[in-house]
Amino acid sequence: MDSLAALLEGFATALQPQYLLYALFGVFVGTAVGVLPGIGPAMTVALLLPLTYSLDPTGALILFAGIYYGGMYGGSTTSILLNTPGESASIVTALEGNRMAKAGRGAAALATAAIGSFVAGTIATVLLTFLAPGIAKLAVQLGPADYFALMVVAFLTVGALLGSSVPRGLVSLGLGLMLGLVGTEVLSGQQRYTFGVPSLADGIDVVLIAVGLFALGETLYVASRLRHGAVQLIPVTRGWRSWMTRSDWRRSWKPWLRGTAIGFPIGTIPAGGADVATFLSYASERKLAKGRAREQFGRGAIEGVAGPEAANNAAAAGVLVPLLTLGLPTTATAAIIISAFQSYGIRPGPLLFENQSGLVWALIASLYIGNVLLLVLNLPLVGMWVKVLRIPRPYLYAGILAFAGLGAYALHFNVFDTLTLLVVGVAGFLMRRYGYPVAPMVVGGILGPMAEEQLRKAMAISQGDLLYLVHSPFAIIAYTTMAVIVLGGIWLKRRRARLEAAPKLVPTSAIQAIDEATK
Amino acid sequence: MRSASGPRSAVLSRPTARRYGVVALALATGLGLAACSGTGAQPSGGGDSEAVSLDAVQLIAPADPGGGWDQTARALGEVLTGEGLVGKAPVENIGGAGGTVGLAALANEKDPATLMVTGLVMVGAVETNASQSRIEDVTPIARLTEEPLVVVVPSSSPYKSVGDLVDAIVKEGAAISVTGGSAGGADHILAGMLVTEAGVDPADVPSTLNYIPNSGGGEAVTMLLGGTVQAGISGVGEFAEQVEAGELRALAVSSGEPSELLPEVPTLADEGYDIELTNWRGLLAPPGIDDADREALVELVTELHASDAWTTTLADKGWSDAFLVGDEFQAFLDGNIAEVAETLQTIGLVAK
Amino acid sequence: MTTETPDPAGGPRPAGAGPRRPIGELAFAVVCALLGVGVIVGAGAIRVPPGSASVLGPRVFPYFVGALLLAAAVAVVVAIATGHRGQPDEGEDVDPNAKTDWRAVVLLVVVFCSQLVLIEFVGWPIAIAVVFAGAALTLGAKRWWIAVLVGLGLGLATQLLFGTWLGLSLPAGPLLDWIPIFNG
Repeated sequence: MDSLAALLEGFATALQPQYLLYALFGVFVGTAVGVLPGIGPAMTVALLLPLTYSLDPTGALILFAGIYYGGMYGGSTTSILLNTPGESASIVTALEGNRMAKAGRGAAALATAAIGSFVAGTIATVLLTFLAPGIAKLAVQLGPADYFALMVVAFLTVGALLGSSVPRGLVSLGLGLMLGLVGTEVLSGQQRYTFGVPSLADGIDVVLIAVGLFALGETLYVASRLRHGAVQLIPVTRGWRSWMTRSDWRRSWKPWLRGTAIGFPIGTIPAGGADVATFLSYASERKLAKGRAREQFGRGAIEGVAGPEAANNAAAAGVLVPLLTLGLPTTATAAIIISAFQSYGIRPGPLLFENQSGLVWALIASLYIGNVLLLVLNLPLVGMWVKVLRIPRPYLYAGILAFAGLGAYALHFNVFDTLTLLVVGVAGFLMRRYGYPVAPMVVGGILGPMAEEQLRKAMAISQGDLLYLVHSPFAIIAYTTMAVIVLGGIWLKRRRARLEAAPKLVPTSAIQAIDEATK
Repeated sequence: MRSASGPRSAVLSRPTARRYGVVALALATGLGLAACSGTGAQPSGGGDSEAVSLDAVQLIAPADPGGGWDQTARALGEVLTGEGLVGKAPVENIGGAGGTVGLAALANEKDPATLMVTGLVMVGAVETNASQSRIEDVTPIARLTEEPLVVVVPSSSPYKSVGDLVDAIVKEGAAISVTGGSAGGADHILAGMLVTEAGVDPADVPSTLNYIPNSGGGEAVTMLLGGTVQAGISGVGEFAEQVEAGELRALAVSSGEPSELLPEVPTLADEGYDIELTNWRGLLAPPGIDDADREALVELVTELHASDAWTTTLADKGWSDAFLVGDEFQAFLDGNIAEVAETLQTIGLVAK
Repeated sequence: MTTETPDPAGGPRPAGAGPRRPIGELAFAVVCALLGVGVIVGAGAIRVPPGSASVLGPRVFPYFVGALLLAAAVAVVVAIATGHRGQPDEGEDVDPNAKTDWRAVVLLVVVFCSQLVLIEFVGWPIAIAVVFAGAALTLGAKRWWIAVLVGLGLGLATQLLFGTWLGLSLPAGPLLDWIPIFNG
């Protein structure tokens, strides 16, 4: 069947009043639970899945699509406002978004996240509609060598996060990689650095690293030199017109589109996942930023929220490509979607579009609808969420601490994770105090183990042939792109340095000397 | 750290997870599918007038919510209370390290009315993690279900039978790579048994068998479809969809009887390999409980097995019944532990 | 917020930008270097199973990580010794001129640690109330009873939401377990 005709039929189903109601309810509940700190989209979807069990399959999947998008948006809200990302894909959002919020620009951050999600989600869903079969066929051809190339490119993000002192940035990265080593390694099943503690055998969950560094470490740091006296009131902008200024729009639309372009393809390949896409988007936005925006990076640049949020949502739609066409879950959220299908006795896979055509297209149509509803429902609430930041500081940070504790304990219902969180949090405090950037540590903790696994898989398959790493066109293209970016960056930096340095380079002493000499 | 693949694998099991807790809740509150409506599920109350030898039984899922063990524990809880076999059967998740964290907790459990889910993965994990607590230390109760493994190749592969594949591995060694689940897991063990059975000297097995493990779901399928590896081994559920679609060719299943999901595929025994290894799940009780307590648990599980609700649950979840209690289960377990321990040494994962 | 950070090598520094002598800073860098050494030494203890999975064995990446950490930490030590001090993080709620309030940090750590014991013995709602109230008071909340009440409310609300409604196994604790709604 023609994609377009099928899609229209899907809309005819999904636009029926009761299904519209399901979609609206899904978006609302998804956002409400996703907003809770420490709960990422995957967990939101998982927690709310049973709500769908009493419905017919179409209604259930439509409700579910709403929960999916709602949870995604809710997750970014907590990252921006409370610095407690619930999963790795929203960590990057916390980087700039939380700084924006603290500078009183939370409404703009939330708005660019919401609109960016909508733009990216819609474009990606269109791509999904028309490209699904073809893309899936290409994506499945990628092997460990290609994934490794992708990881290497993603590590470029670290360069963007290093901050002013390169050695300190590398220490931070090293600490993250070190935490990533803990646990049972995938390739030969050996335990590393577990010291015989069974709770360490499964490794240190990345949520602990992120929440420890961002939420707990920051709270300790703030406590160490809290601004006493009159609390500076964060100005809350009134009226939806002021959420995003004209300049915000101008600075956001390109990152939205770039984020979509990065996110969708990466979402379609297994082992990519939304987190890699958000890192790449962040790195490229930072590289491309000019002038004032460039200075703002690390202090709350809107591009750093717009791009990664768009990439995140585009990747989320991209994930549906291998899922619907091959039955492959490539992220945690995808795994849950599969179980949703399975609870109706439907196995996503190559035959899905033939056997369950009506259902699939209703689902895709409801993705479009969910996107729209999300925007309609949540933009008016932006102001409400931002008020969270007006809570008096002692209570705000106490709340962050409490929710950090919840996030850690809820991982395995074991206080060992609480202890790990505390250790990471204290490390985060010391790092902030002594001028180490914390973000490379999180990136190292996520990408390090992925990169090692793929590299070792490639080496095992090729039995040690290093050329295997560049045997495929994809890998060659990835490495070439990286080389161009790096060399281009260095060239730009040199040129700028030369331009900026030129007038300054004459030391006053030299001028004095000349003055003296000419006297 | 798992987390790397964390976003995928660790997280993958955990939240999928949660939902079953929620499922239990949803069921209890009447939101869910009335799976066990046969007897009109009663919400767990205290004093049922039913003749029960146990008022309550504590169920331990030695895994985070969401995986197979957790699903088994939750389903058990549903049926046990739904059928009025016990008044209460709460599930506690004690996850980590392939179930050995839960096993350690069970070894210290004092309440005899405790049942912990176990299975082949735990048998292997005890060896690979050099766990202090061993399955031999606690009280075996029953085997409940099993899932056969299946050996597959891409449909374009030259190997038409499991014999072709194993011969090629024996001849070409590490040039043929085989993928599947985690290192030292059921899939890896089966690969090791196949190569050993084919006559490769145990000392040469590690260098002959090039096994590429995966941490997340779906990765094995991708590697097979992309032609990165030559063969794959996993539970039938993992590959069934691609086999039906004609993208993968199933060569053999590892159970004694053909699998319900892939009835056309021969067993390894049919193909001339004297191997039977299924991903079984069962129940353990705390150590040192007296005979009466053990009998009560065995009787409870036997009643459970006889119930229509359990039959329905097995069908709904796609689990194969593999009920075994008493001495038979003890004998099976002893044999399984010995076999797994030996294979893990042969494939080099556990030091001799 | 957008002001240039001062040149770390010279120029007047705000009073609170770090201790006068970089002892703490040096100590942290040295600890990182030692962690690097620890990773390298620990890598030698990882068992390398025979066979094909060990073409690039389980020790290689740890050696690399250890070396990176060690080298970077040594570079930081050298940088500190030559006067290149780290710039403490900026933040909206951070007073760059304040002296480090170690008492608050230690108290917060202690408060957070209380969960390790409390969750198990008195249950989630009370543990979270203690964390919230303790942290709020440490950070200068004016009225203690508000902190306690909000903490208790937060604890009960999360218990109901996550424990009762979403089915996570948060222990309600002996004080609440007898109430049916908390007793899953």
